Amino acid sequence: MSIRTYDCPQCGAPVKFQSSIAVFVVCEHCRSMVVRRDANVESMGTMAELPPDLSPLQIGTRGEWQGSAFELVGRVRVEWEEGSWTEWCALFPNDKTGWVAEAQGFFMVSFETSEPALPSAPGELEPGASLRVAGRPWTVVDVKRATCLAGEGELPFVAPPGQQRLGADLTGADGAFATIEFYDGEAPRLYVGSYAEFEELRFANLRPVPGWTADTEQIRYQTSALNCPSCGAAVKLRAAGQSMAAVCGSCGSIIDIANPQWQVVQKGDEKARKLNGLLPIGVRGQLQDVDWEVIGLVRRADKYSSWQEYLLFNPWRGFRWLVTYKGHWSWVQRVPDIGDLSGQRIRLDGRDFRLFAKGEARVKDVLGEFYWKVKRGEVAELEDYIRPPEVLSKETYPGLKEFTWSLGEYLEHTAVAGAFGIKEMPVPAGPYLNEPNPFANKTGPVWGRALLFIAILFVIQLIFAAGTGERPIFDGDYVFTRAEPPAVVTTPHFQVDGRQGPVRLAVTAGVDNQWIGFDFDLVNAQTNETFPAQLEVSYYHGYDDGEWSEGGQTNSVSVPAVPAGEYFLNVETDADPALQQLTWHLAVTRGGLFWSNFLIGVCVLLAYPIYLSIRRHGFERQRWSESDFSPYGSSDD
Amino acid sequence: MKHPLYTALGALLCLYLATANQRGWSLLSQISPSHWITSGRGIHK
Repeated sequence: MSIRTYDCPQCGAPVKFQSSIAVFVVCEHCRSMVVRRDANVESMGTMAELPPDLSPLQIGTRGEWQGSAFELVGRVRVEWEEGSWTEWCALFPNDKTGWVAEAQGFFMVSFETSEPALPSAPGELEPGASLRVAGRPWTVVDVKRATCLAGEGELPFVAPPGQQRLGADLTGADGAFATIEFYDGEAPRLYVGSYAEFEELRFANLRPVPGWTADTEQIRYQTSALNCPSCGAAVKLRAAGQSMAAVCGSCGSIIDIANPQWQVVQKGDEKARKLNGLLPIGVRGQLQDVDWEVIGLVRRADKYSSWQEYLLFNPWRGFRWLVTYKGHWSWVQRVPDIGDLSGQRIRLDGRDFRLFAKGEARVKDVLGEFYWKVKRGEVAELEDYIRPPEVLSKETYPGLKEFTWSLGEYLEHTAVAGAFGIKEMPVPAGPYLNEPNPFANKTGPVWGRALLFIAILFVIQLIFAAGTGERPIFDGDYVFTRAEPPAVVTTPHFQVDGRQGPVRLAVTAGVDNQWIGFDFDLVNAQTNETFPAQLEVSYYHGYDDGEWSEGGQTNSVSVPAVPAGEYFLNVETDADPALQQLTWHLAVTRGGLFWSNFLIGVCVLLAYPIYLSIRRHGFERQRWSESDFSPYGSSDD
Repeated sequence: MKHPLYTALGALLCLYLATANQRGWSLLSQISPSHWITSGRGIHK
């Protein structure tokens, strides 16, 4: 670092040029714009006052980017049609100059890069266009004319107030960011860098933020309160320097606050004063371990419904949104580095999002302040892509050469109520587009567990099947003869051996379009314990539009849990009235398994996962019934 | 452990199947009327 000090041509105060390539310094005493030419300096007038802001950065703030330390030595405040941002000039080791752009809580670090193949005119660049510079592909995100509002500190170029340029913002893979700037009469300049999180830049020597940093709390409401140009009421700003529009709480007029000279851009009406949100403007709450202040509320509507969007602000983290509809809440933040994607499905960071809604959304009412110049009636083309609990939204504003993306995540209404101390929070009604399916997380694991247990049951069944074959223990032939009352047949005694288990009674009878039924009593000869069982043998066949048959001439029944011992059977027989006499054969076997035990076990195990699957499917059907792009067909079905 | 009730149900069913096979029980005969499971008599009357 080679510091050169000059006397301010305007006031004589010392003016320091810390970098050898700095050519422009704003005198911190008289705000004279001092330009260095060769060994001399000259003044080119007085720099405009910087509008007040709540940025935590200041001249002298130190930071680190990709292992390289830097210090902020100057800045310019730049305005465009719909907002403004700050470009901080960062001095790196070896007099290397970089830029830290600060816009709506986003930080972008970039460095000027030489590129011989730059487009010669901005007209060649349109949002969504692809081009290749600095050895990699880029997508144009927006093209806008920017004007220098004011500056301070030192800069490597002359930046007087009112200086204009056209800038094209480009986005590349992995958060890469670039800007091509076109100045009248000069070759275009290319700046290449990437988006950065506040924590990534490891800032030190930050400015205490009024109203947020503990030792400046007492001056919270003294920072930015001006009067409404329409009704004269005081309008307090909660994100001064970041907000571009504010709504007068008294008359409802929307005021352009980008410049110190506030102007009414839209008069308020009676209806405008009636917008009343659940979260009052100015309330603070802690979400995701960060304090947020509600600074704006906008009600938007499409052709089906309306919803509310709360704008939240934190000086270090920027802006977030809380979007609420029918008691559902989403936590939303802008995603800066997505190109012009569209279609039924889009992919972001390896996650697939599915198109849910597409259409125009109109701003109905607004309250508070906003980082763009909001207007009632403003229309945006909205596309919502979902991957519950996430929703990815694309907004395109007619007439503006840019589109914006935001990523929302479903938030439980109780979390919002807890964060902001809301006692009576409406309960969510019906499935919402990004509401997590309450059955989705359970279904897969429960199915896995069900299949595991079915496999175990099957193995248990196979093990027992291998060890319990059926053995014949008795058989005999008998004759049915019609009698009144029916005759009871008693078999000889037979031995049932082994451990307690089933005894199977199998009957073969020569029925032909007839039936014969048996009431068995298997009786233990020692204890008289009786095991009843019933059985029917029926066989029907014939011709009726072809040959058919039903039943058979053999049937069997298993008697469960029969202990070992000496047994006999009492058999009472009944039969088809047409049957007078019939010979039947009885075969008794010991052992075997009841497969019905296994099948009942399988059914019981499957009941819960099937129930979960049905409920999961039903939830999705209901969710998608609100969409014009339902995979389940038309919502009118 | 996730889904403890369902896991307990699965474990109980395994235990029951092993016991039923060991003892020669029929779950069907215990939860249903005996005439319903052992005979279809009367269908063709």
